Amino acid sequence: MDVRLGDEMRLLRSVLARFFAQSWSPETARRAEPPMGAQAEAPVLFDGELWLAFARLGALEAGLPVEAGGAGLGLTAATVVAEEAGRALYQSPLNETLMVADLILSGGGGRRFEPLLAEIAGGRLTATPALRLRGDDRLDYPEETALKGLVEGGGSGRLRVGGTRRFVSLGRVVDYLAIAVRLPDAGPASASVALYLIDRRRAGLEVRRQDDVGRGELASVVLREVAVSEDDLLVRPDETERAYAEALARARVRQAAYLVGLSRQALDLTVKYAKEREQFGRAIGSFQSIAFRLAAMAARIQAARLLAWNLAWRSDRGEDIRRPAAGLAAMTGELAREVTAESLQIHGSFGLTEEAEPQRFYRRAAVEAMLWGTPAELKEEAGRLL
Amino acid sequence: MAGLERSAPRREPHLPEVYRWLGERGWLAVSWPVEYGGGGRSPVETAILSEEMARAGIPDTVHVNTIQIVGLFLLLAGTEEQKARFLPPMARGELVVSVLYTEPNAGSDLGALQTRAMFDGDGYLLYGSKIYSLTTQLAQYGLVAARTRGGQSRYDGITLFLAPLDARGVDVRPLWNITDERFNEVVFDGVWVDPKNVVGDLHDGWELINTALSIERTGLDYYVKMRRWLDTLIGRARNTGRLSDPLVGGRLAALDTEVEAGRAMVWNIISQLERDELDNVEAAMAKWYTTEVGRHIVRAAQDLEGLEAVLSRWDGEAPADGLFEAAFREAPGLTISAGTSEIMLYLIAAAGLGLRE
Repeated sequence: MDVRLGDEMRLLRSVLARFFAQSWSPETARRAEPPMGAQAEAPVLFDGELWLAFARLGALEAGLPVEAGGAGLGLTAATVVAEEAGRALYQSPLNETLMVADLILSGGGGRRFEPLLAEIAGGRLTATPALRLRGDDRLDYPEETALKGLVEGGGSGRLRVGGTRRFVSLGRVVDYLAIAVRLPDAGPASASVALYLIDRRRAGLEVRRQDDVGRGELASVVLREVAVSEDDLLVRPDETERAYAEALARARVRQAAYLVGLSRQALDLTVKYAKEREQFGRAIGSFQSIAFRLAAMAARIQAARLLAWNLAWRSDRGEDIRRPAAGLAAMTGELAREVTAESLQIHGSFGLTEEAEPQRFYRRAAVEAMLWGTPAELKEEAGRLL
Repeated sequence: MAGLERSAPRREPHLPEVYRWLGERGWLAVSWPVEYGGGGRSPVETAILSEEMARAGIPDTVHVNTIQIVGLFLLLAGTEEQKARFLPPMARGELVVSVLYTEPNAGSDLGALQTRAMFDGDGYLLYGSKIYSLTTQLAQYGLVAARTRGGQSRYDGITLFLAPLDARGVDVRPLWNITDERFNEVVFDGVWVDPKNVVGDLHDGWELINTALSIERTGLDYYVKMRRWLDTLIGRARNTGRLSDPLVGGRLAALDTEVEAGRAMVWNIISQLERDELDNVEAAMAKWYTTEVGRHIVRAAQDLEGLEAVLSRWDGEAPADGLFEAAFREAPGLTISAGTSEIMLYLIAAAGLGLRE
């Protein structure tokens, strides 16, 4: 097993690291965060220009296949990008958009969207899946939680879709939403759900901000008799199970890489603090009770990081990675929450203040750890696939 | 009384009307002697009342600082004049006092404190800054630890003062943080303190601080908080049917056992106080044990509720009115304030198990 990164990947990583160091300082990042308890109508603080600059560096392009206007460096490249974004604690529709791109490329019926891929590669078009009603809805079976589609009269072949989707990541920012719809007259339950890609500004859609501890961009989307047609079809019902499971597994690997990056940065901040902060006449990092905890975290982060690269490589070779991807997502979700909690503990009261970095990592970790399945759900899912 | 007004971001949870209402009824300082405005009750009876108040969700930080810490301090070491002057208004809920020990370079290592008090002939002038204190913006006085002389050791030469916070030369600034209670940064720039406000013996405050710190650590308020968080989580699991999943039930039962064990530890300390034979090691164990369970409850809430648990009370759709989100922001501070978990473990290891470097 070769998990070393090639020259291209290392270059990509250093370019992105420099980009974030120059354009995304902790001060800038804090300004892009709404205050605690911001309203549902609070302005969107997402910086579209910064996102485009991020995309111009190849953030999305790197992982997309050559035929889709990408660089063809595979999921491995996408994990490198995601890890750097995690280190910078940069919230963006990167993973969400790439998941939709994977669905377009899945051969499940979304060929009509292929022209969009070049736009996606350039960051000019973004999308996010909108699949949950409740915060504990499982993500692995869209048919369980799909919206209900009603046939529109007159044999138009169109559907009317109603319902609510919550915890839609970047829901107020993206251009398109991917939804799962149960078709009214389809056959067996296992093949009755199709995925559609619809414009966020389509008539009948109402998007509002949810206020979460991460102070990020989560949205609740209400659909009122939204018209959906064949033109919006992303994945056919008979392909949903396969195409969706594969795309979800790849999204989970990217998310795991994001959480690895987040954890690494939280650890680095803490190591630095432990070297500088003196109590009882010595650096607190010289106490074994602190040093060994930091060392154990460093080892766990490295383990997760190497597994993420390995799974990316295996997925790029066509291997089915659903089980290990769910397991890794669970592991990194727990790791990120533990590392950031320890970071706060070691920083003491200072870490809790608004101007301190550790609390931002702690708050974001809670949300990021659950976006693609809660650790409990992910473990259960991985267990079923054993 | 709840409602959005009270829970607005950056609105201190302290309820002044409720606090004075309790004071008028003599329910704030139930264990103090009657002559100082107290109820003359036992520590056990005091704890019963505290438990009920906390269970009712009454914010307790002002009470903990003013009555349980500073009041106790005065009872232990105050002069007759100090007790007569400060304790009755504190018991009535009219006088609020905050605790000002921690400094930017003196957190766990309190012996590193640098605030100085210089005698100027008829009083003391305080210079220095104190940080991360709670409720100071509501307080008229602060219990300040300051250096009055350079001693043989760093623990010598520390003196405690009741310093007026409305005096010239005091600057109290907010230090906003992720919890619902603000931190304060207090700068003393030559504040004059009457020698009558020196608490305990001059230069000899270190031991007093430590005695008071361990009495502070019954862990009762922590236990009640854990009980409330976990009961809310169990109630939700029951109502949503999740409790019938044996993995969920088992996990919640394990947490429930830990909270109950924490309660047993806390009441053991309270009964030790009643008999006046406090075991400092057991007090450290109780503080460590009851606060560490917090992070496990918060984690369980996220695992069970999923993303619902990250929604704040300001969202309007959060389960239990955002309790799990608020607990997630509050939990880290519990294992830091009033003695970090590391310091508790050090006390247990060194004083309890005899493990010293």
